[in-house]
This record gives sequence, C-alpha cells and structure tokens, in this order.
Amino acid sequence: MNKYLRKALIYLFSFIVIVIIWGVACEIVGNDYVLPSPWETFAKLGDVIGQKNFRTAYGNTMLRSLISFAISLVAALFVATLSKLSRILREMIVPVLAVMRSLPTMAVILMLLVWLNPGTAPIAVTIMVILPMLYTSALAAFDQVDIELISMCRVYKVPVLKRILHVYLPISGAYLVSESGAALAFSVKLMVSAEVLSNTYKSLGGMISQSKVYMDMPEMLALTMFAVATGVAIELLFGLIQRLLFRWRDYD
Amino acid sequence: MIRIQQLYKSYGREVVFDNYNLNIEDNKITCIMGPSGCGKSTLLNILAGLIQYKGSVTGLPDRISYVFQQHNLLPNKTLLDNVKFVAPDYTDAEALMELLGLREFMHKYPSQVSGGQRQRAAIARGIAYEPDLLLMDEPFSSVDHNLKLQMLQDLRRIIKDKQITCIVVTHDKEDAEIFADKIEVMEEGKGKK
Repeated sequence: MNKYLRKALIYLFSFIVIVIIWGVACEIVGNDYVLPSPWETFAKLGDVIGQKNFRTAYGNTMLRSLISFAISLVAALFVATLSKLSRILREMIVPVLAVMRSLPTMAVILMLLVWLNPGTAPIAVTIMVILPMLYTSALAAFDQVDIELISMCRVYKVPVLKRILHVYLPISGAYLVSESGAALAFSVKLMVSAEVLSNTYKSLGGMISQSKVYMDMPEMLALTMFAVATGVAIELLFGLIQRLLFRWRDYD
Repeated sequence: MIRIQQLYKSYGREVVFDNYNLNIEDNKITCIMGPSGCGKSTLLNILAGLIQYKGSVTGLPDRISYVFQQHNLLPNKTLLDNVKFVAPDYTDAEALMELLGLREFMHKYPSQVSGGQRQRAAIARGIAYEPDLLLMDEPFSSVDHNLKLQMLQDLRRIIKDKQITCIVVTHDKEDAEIFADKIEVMEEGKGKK
C-alpha cells in the first residue's frame, strides 16, 4: 500500500475514533447545551461555512496570522543570521528570548489591548510568541549544514553564491520549511485565542467569543473544529511542499 | 616537490607534530601509514589548507582535491551531481563513475547507497576536479574487498595518466603496496618518520 494512502487511512481512523468517543460522551452527558452531539456540530459547521460573515471573519483571522508569521519569520531569519555572525549578539539574545518565552500570553494580550486596538493586539502577541520559536528554528536550520561540507566547499573553491544556492539554502531550507509549517499552524491557534480575549470584530476568535455570550455551544465547537482543521491543513500543506521541494530528505 | 619543514601542530596540550619534515615527489603516489592518532589526517588537513599550523609547507599547487574519510557528499544532490558540483566542466563524469562501479547508482542520493559507494563517488569527485594534488584519507576503507583490487589498479592508472601528485592515508599495508610508489610511515606522538 502507498505510504501516503496508509497515512491518510490512519488519520481517518483516528478521526472516526474521536467522533465515536465524542458521540458516546454526548450520550452520557445528555445535555446539548453542555456537550452537543457530533452530528449537530457538523450540521452547524455546514451552516456556518455558508455564511458570508464567517468567510470574512475567517479571512481576517488568516490574514492576521499570515502577517504575524511573515513578520516573525523575516525578523527571526535576520536576527539568526546576525547571531551566527556574532557570538556576542547570540549570547545577548539568550535572556531576551528567555523573557519572551516566559511571558504569560493572556496577561500580555490584556496589556496590549490598553496600548493597541483589538485588531492589532492579537498580531503583536502572536509575533511575541512565534518569533522566539522561529529564531531557534532558524539557528537550528543553519546548523544543519555540516561543518565538513563547508570544508569540502573550501577545498574545492566553490564560489560563495554557489555555496548559498546549492548548500545552505536547500539544507537549511528543508529544515526551516518543516518547522515553519508547525509555527504557522501555531500562529493560527494563538491568533484565535488572542481574538477571543480581545473580542476582535469580524474574526474567528470574535465569533467564538460571541457564541459564548449566546451560549451557542454547537457554533462554538464548530468554529473551534474549523480552526483545528486549518492548523492540520497547514501542517499537511507544508509537508507536501517539503516533499516536492526537498525530495532527497525522504531518503535521509 | 612539496616540502614540509619543521612542522609543528598541537591541539591544546597534545602535540601532533613537532619539527616534522617530509618531501612529497611530484606525480608520485605517496602512501602515509601509521597508528591511529599519529596525525595522518591532520597532515592532509594542513595540506588542504583547512587548519592552521606552524612551520613551512612549500610547493603546494593551486588545484587540490580532497577525498575526505567521511566522504562529505552533499545530501541534496545525486552522486553524479555531487561530482558535477565541483567539476561542472568535466565531460567524462559518467564514464569515470562507471569505471568506479557506480553506473547503477549515479542518479541516487548519498543516503540511498552504501558507505563504499559514497566513498567511490567522493573519489570520482576528487578526480573529476582535475587536481594537481589529490589527497585521500582512508579512501578504500569501506570499499568491498572483491571490488578493491580492480579499483586500486584502475585508480592508479588514471592518476598516473593525468600526472597527479597523490597523497593517500591508509592503515592497510596491502592497499599501500598495490597503490603507492612510495610509503611513508609516521610514528605516534611526534610525527617522526
């Protein structure tokens, strides 16, 4: 059996198991306001997807997530490159990263809401969380290029541009693409959480927040499921990009 | 002639070479033998310009190839593309790889082939670069015994035809006797002959 088909069947099987457990739990609870059934949630999901305001909200959330991710990636690559060139800078960044990693996300969102508006505060907090992750990944990606390969390039007098294009970019890039998929999926998750707290207008998080106000559990679950599906789709997409661009890694 | 005079090299407190002298004749294959840790690979790294040292090394040519012990092939390129990566103008890459028994494997990635096949690809890369000096660090250690004798003879013929000066580090006396014009034996500690 094709290994991708096998993987898809395993994913499908785990999804069915989750839905069965959810259905059983729903029967045990016996209260749709507390835990709606999978069927009711899927029906609601279909309804929600058909609404124009959902599509606008989803688009806004994805756009914010992409902006946060893009800014974080560019900044992480820039700082990681400088860190690679300067050991002092690399050491100076360590405590900054430690602080950024330790920041309580919820508290930061509440503070940012004072300084920024509900549309930009989620972007800022997502950058603050994703940037250190991507910086670490970028440094690790640079380290993927074995020092022995650099020695080989030196002996054979390979020009710098050729080294960048044929050695650094493919080897570091392959690692960074796989890490970026996880980081972008995490950005979406964070963005939705930040939007819920900020009650951002016309956003997926804002819609979830509204569902909570009206105690519309099926809608809340349907929107959450959609956010989860988006994260999974992003990781699968990046996995596919990696397989297409860096086929050689399949054999590693 | 490559002249190594009063060579001194240490790693921290561990002295690898202390006043070491060696002459390498042009267009000859010189095998360097000696116990592990006596500085054989360090000597090749010095000649390849990869590490700092004290002393004098003269007569080094401009074009140097190095067949590393760990092959150092790019994982993102096929064996043939690895050869072409350092020698884009070399037209006989495929024929050379065939000669080294890599016809069926030249379009495979390094991770898809055995250690011996990687080592042979690294040798092909070293020759395709058309060097004046070819350095090889234990190049036959992973090569299948049945293939080795023919390969040593073919490789020797190519090196002689192309008039390449070659320095080979090996621990195998039999390989050295078949392959080399001259054998240098290094002693542990001070790199004395």
